Amino acid sequence: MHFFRDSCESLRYRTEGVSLICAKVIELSPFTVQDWSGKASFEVNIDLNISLGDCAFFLLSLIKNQFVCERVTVIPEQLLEVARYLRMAGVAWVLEVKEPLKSIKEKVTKLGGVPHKPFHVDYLNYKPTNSQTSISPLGLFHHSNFPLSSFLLGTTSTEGKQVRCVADRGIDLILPKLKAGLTPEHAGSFECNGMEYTYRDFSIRVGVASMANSTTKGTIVEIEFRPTAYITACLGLLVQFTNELINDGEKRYPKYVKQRRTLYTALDTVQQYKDIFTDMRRRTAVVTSNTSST
Amino acid sequence: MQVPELMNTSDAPITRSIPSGNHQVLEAVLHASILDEHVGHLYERLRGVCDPVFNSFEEHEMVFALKTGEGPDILVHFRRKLSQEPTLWHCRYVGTPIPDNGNLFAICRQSTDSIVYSKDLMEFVKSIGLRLEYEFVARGKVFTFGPIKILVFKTFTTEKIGTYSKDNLKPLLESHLVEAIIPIENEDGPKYSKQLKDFCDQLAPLVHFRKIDYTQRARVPY
Repeated sequence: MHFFRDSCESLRYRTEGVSLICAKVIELSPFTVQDWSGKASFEVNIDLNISLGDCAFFLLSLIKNQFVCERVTVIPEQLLEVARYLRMAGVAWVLEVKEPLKSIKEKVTKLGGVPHKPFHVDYLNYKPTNSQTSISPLGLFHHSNFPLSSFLLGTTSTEGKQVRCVADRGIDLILPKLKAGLTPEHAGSFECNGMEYTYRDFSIRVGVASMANSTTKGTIVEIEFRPTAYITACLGLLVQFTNELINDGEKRYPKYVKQRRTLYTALDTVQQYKDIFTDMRRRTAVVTSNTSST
Repeated sequence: MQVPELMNTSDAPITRSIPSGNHQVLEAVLHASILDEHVGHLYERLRGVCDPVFNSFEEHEMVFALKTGEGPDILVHFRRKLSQEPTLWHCRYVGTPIPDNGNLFAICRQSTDSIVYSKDLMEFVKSIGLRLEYEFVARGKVFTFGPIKILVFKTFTTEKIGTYSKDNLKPLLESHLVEAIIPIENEDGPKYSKQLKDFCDQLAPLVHFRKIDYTQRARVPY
């Protein structure tokens, strides 16, 4: 069962799983709470020893499209602001492995990973229509873990600036309107299809990367440690877990370690995919007979 | 310690919305204007006729153009709530009005919308070749009557490019602009534009809505 950390506002978009919110009680009937993002109302079916004005963590389950509170933990009001920063965005490490998909999937299942759902990442590069303009190439990405979003990543300019945007799927419809400036280059597009496994606090995604819907280019593994978005808090664990899972003698480090940033975002995951796809494109096509999808 | 950026969905502009999943909408639109001194009467009228909940807004819109070799420039609108950090933008591409065979009561056009989260929008638009055509700040109220959305706002320009604080904003005209929009379903332009026109006629003689063919007028840059 998937567990999410939400705000009162983001609860509206939750369609499955169990959510945790931290808010202040503003009304008892109907039971309404409020946090920094807005208000939320839900059913309470347990004996609540809580009064108006209390702040607490509420564990909510989605039952028949209605949120029902299963557990309440009262906290002092000063912690309400602190709780705001306890967000659930994982830190992920995306890497390419030399072994075929079947073999890495076996390693994951042997470890205890349970298949959860299929995953899919795609990348379409938009190139400038005329080479004389100052328009730079732009990459459009989608990741199945963020089904309503589209990610835009440009190339890093000489000043160190890079276009990094998160948009909704509408941007996919707007970009073709700008065909006078940018044209999609389907021959250089990439796709990664595979399966997502859950193992305790980790989400492991293994898939096969292919270019332009035809040539298989390699196997990609994405390991996400879900509980925190603070890189420093979990980097050691993430590196050790990944190296032991792959267990091929090579000791690796994620590239973003060098950047010394504290917070991790979804764009960082997509950036890692972009780097891998760019590397793959530079190499010659890898055709392995045993990268069959299961 | 770096504080996480928390994107609050309420930072998005409220005058432009994206009904769930529907990024490409055919809409019918009518325009009118009213002198500043009579806006109060219009608000009273609208409060009486429209849905009980209405909102005030203050939004900044930048319109960019992509120069094409031949043909008209492609215009893209970026709109944001005039609040602290400009990170959440509503991006809109407005298509050309569909041909009118005499049975359309309003300008009907395709509108493609998207919400974009970007810490540095100017970098983004520059890299895709868009140049700023014009910008303005709109301050006013938005009312709804079922699917119909009515915006009553005053446009301001900034005296100092880049700053949009109240002291730098200068009103463009001594009147408010009124815009009435309805989404069209099943491509039935005549039906929905008639629905829009019928509603707008209720607001006469305060405001007189017209089907303004803005494509024919020459754009005066300012």
